[in-house]
Amino acid sequence: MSGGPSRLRAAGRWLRQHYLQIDPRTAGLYRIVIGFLLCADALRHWSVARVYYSNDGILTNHWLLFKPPASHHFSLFSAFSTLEEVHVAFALSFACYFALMIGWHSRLFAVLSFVWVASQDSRLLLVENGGYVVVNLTALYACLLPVERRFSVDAWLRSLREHRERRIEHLAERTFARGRDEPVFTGVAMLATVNLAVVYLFNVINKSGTVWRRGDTVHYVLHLDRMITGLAVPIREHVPMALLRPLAWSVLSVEAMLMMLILSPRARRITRPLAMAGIAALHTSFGVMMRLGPFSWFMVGWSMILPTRTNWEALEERGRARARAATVRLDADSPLALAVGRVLARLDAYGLLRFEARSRSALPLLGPSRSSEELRSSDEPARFEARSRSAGSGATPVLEVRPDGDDGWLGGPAAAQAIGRALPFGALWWRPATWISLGLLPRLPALLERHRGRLERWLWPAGMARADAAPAEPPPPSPLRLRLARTGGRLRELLVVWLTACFVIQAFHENKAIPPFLKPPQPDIMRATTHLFRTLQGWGMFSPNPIQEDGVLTVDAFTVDGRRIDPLTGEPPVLDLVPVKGMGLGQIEQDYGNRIRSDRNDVYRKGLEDFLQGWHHVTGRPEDEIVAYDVYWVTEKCPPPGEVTPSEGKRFAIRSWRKPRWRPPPGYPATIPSPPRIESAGN
Amino acid sequence: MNPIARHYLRVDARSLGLFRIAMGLVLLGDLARRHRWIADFYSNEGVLPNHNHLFNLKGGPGIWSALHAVSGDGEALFAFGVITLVYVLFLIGWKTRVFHALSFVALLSLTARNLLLETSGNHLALALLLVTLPLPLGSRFSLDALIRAMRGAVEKSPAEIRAYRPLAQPTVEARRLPGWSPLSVGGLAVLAQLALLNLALYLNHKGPSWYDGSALGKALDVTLLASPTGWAVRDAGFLVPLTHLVHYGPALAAVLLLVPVARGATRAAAAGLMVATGLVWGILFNQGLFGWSLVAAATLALSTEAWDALDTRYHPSRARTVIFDADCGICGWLAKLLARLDTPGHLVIQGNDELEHVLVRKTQGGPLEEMALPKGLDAELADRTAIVVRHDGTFATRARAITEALRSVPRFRLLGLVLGLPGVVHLLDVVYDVVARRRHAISAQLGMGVCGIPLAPKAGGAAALEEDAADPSPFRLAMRKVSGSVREIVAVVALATLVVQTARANDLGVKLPEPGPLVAVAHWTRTQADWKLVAPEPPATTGVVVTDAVLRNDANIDLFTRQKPEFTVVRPFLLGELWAAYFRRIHQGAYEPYVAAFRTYASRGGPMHDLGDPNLRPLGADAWWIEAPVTGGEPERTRILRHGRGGPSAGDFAPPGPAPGPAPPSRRLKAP
Repeated sequence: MSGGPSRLRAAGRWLRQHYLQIDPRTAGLYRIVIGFLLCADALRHWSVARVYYSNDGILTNHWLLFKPPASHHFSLFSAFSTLEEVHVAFALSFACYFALMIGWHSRLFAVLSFVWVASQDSRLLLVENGGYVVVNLTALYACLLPVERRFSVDAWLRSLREHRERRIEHLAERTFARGRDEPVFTGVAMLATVNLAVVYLFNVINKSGTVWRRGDTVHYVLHLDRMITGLAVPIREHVPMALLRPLAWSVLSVEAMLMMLILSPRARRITRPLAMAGIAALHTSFGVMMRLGPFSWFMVGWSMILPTRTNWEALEERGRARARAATVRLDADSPLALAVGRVLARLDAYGLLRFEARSRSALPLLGPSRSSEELRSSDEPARFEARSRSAGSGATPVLEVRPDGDDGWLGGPAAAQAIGRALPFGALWWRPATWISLGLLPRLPALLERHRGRLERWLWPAGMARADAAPAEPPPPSPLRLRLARTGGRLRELLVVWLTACFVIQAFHENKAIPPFLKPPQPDIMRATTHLFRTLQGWGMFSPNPIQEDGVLTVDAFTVDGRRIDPLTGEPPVLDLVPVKGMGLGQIEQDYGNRIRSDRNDVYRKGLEDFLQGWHHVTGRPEDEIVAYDVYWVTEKCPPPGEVTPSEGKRFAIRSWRKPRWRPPPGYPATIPSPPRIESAGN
Repeated sequence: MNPIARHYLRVDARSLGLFRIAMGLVLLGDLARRHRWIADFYSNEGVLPNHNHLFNLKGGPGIWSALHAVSGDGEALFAFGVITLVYVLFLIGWKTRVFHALSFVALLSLTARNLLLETSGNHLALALLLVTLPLPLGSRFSLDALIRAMRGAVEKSPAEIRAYRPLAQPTVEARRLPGWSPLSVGGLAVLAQLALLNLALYLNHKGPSWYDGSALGKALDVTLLASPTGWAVRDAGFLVPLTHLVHYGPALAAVLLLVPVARGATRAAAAGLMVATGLVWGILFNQGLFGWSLVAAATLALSTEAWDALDTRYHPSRARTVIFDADCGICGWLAKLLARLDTPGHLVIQGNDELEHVLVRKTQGGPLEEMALPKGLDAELADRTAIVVRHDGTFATRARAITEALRSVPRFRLLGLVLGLPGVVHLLDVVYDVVARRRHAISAQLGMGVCGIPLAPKAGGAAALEEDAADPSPFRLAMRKVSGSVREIVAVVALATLVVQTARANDLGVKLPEPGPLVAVAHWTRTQADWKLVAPEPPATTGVVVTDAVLRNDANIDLFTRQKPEFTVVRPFLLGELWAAYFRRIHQGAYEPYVAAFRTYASRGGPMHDLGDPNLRPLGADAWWIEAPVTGGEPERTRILRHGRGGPSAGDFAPPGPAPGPAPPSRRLKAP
């Protein structure tokens, strides 16, 4: 009996050690990637704001609120009606995502980002797919993880505010770096990791159909014209089945392996990077072949949760080996030099920069062993330039650098490059960063030197602190503050426990592979938790079998001036899908078509009709007034394996309208002489 | 500073701080009033579901409310919780600028969620929040100000606390956040807002009853206009002078606000008139936020001279010596706070570690003198409790010492008096003893000095303070200019909007151009400056909505009163200002699109819908608009809606001819 509690404690320690901790650098990296992806995704939605998110479009906010698509439904976007208001909403949401990405008020903007992104999803559930759920989940985890501790504006500002080095000598103490990479213990780390593994688990076990077993999935998927990108067309037409079949099976095996690699408690130094590489490879190939919306890219973003402390240490080891330490000599009497030193010290994650102060009184005009003529004629023009300029101005240079193993001090671009080499993976990013900055980066030391007088007068008119000034360090937090922080942490963990329970039950309910008798009852409050912000747990892309019938929504409309057009694409309507090689539709457009054709979404077709009948108001051109239209679901059967030509092109009219007293003028095609019979395009 | 510029372009920071507190309380009171009817007005169970409102607004000018995203009761409750938090943080002045803006958004959302509830009070409160947005409402009497002040509290001994002097004005200004400036177009906008409001109130009241003093009496006969208090006093004789006050007071206030001489007296008089007028509207009428917002706005009229007189007036009788435990961090912090609040210098702060004498200062700014320890005051007592010594040698301890000290501090005198009342002070003694016993533990928990340990340095240390207090750098000054310019642009837009809109919506006798963007700003922000309260004359008729419902249990009741329907207008209206505003509009033709939702609401039992008793569901109901001349006479009845088979009294009012069918079309009384 006595062994029970100790075994429990040991299990708890093991769990804590393996799954309940997260490195602050991992959380910081996760925040940056998810923030960036949220920004990109917001721009994607913003670009179709008029048609899909405003009252000019296919679903007005009042109709959505009148006929909510889910029992628990909430969207901040419902409050925004006109296009101008919707632009404001997107601008606000983008600002939140951007603030999250750069880590400014990270906690606040993580929560706001989650609310905005879930609202964006809920505003138009007709286009929701598993990718949207992934977006919501990753944004939710960003709210709960310690994302602000590293690589953020918050961390920088806190470090600069709390650790005030007041002389160059203080930079060597690097007090700001103490304890900043200590792991954080939280249940969110485990929840987010296990949830990622569960995505692959259910993706494997739900794919139980014969098509997957035969290995024909890739073939069929590449023939879904509504989804594929242009890259998929040559592949489906020229790559033989002998290669496509192994590809399909490899998807299954990679997904199965990913789950194990993610959860493996052993050899995580290897398994976690392998999992990240697998996820990146798998989803990048999905992403470039198919228009699945945010799914692929956010899965890659989600994988940023995986690096452990060991991985960061390994990375550091590798980075150190490629870097070259250097000594940075700064003007002891220049506040600008001190500011540069403070920034460099914080960028120098591996501690490879040493800082030296040099007083103006100690400035020799030239180097000890070589004359100016010697220097001028040597292969060190940059050094000479820096030295002679500073000597000419009578001031110590703001900054000089001497790489380890070198005996001379560098200025100008050479100094910048030497600093870059000492910073983490500087050898990798230095050249691209130089290009991106249009050559500004190497010129920074020279620019600082040239403008130092003006900069110092502008920013630090009081000059440097006294020579005997001590660095200002933060006082230890008060016991009350610590207690409040602990209480906040406990509340967060309670929330994590609640979310875990909700997600488990939701996963049991949603996934087809779970037999009905294993599905527990789902209390309404748990359902509300997962549905209100669309953090669902059904994972089964193309399962149990991939779709084998392709289809697109087409509007065959006549304008008042006699043009025949599909207002949703602005192109002539596609009434036969068989000859089409990729529709070129975005995810929002193609998913909207696929959902609105379903009879269960009939209630939302009214919005589409209002949009079509008022299209000329949207375009602002009276000649665009639509006088007759038919909305078709146009389908084809994907070709069987080994063939490339689809068959059985059909179309189902799901809506039809003629303006009263409109008659087709002579010479009009007889395609729509009268309203066709309204048909079902399935569910 | 140029006195003319100071008069027209500056609002004293203390006036702004007091306005923030007053407006915060008004907003919280308004929210509490709305909370009573949260399901009826702010959820889809009520008289206007969000989809119905948005549908009815379709194609019209822009109306935006965050609460349109809220559907269910629970969501509405959550939204109200968030709004409460925003208002409270605005009230206490934490991150004031942010929560000021959010308070504006919150009130705008409450207003625009159901336009049938909108009154002039909403316009006024929103206009006040908008014009003060560019101004530093949090620089005084706020948590922000307290934090800023105490961050600079580096005194480490009682002697240093005693020697505390407020920072010189240049240093204060150097520490101001970017964007702060003593002069602003925002100041002019505030003055213009107050003056135009008062002027419009006067000019709109053109009717003879405002001159003969009968206007308020007549207005209080209108059921939906009069509050229960107003209804009770509608025949009182004092309404005649009150009418003259409400009529002429605003005109006088407008003039006094604009006169640039004798600012202390004229501004105080204007503020007094605004408070009096506001109280009349607030207490006697169902005008929503109007009266109380006017009272809050009066604080903006207070001048620097008035504040200075209040802050620096020295009363020798209030001079005291405060003896505190010098080893206790929290006591030291409170002593520093007292030193900062005590602007006239009534208090001498003394530690219990220097108890050979009592130090007293007998004149304002005079030298410290030593007074022998009063009998009974010794080190042992000073170790147990704070002590406040009066110059006559008597002293107070425990909670009485706190109240005594508060009474010497400007603006806290009233609080000190209240807390010093018998009973209250005894209760406080208990609390004091509990805290005093644990003061060292509390100090330790808060990270303050304890048992002789020097008081803890603040975050960033003294170095940070030095740097903060240094002259602002040119870069910082440039940033201030940039942010200040943005602020001034906002102020100019707010000023232009309110001038144009006030001229547009009131009978000022002037016609101004109405640029579309400014009209749109006024519309979108619901700052429509409609100050026609009981103008030009009180209404000649009075009316009320009566529902006549038969329930499943066969009871015949009015859904709103839960009594048998009374088809009379001569009765007080007890449902409050929101229902009064709703009833004033729902019978009008322009609001016909909203009747369908009202019918659905009535069919669920109206305000009884959430009682959950199926017997309280109506089988049939009619809603009638009952209207009669104020002077008396037979009321006219017009049906607004019919649900099911209608109410049992329907036949009584049916026009001659065939009996009404199950759902006859409604007849509108009149267009608005």
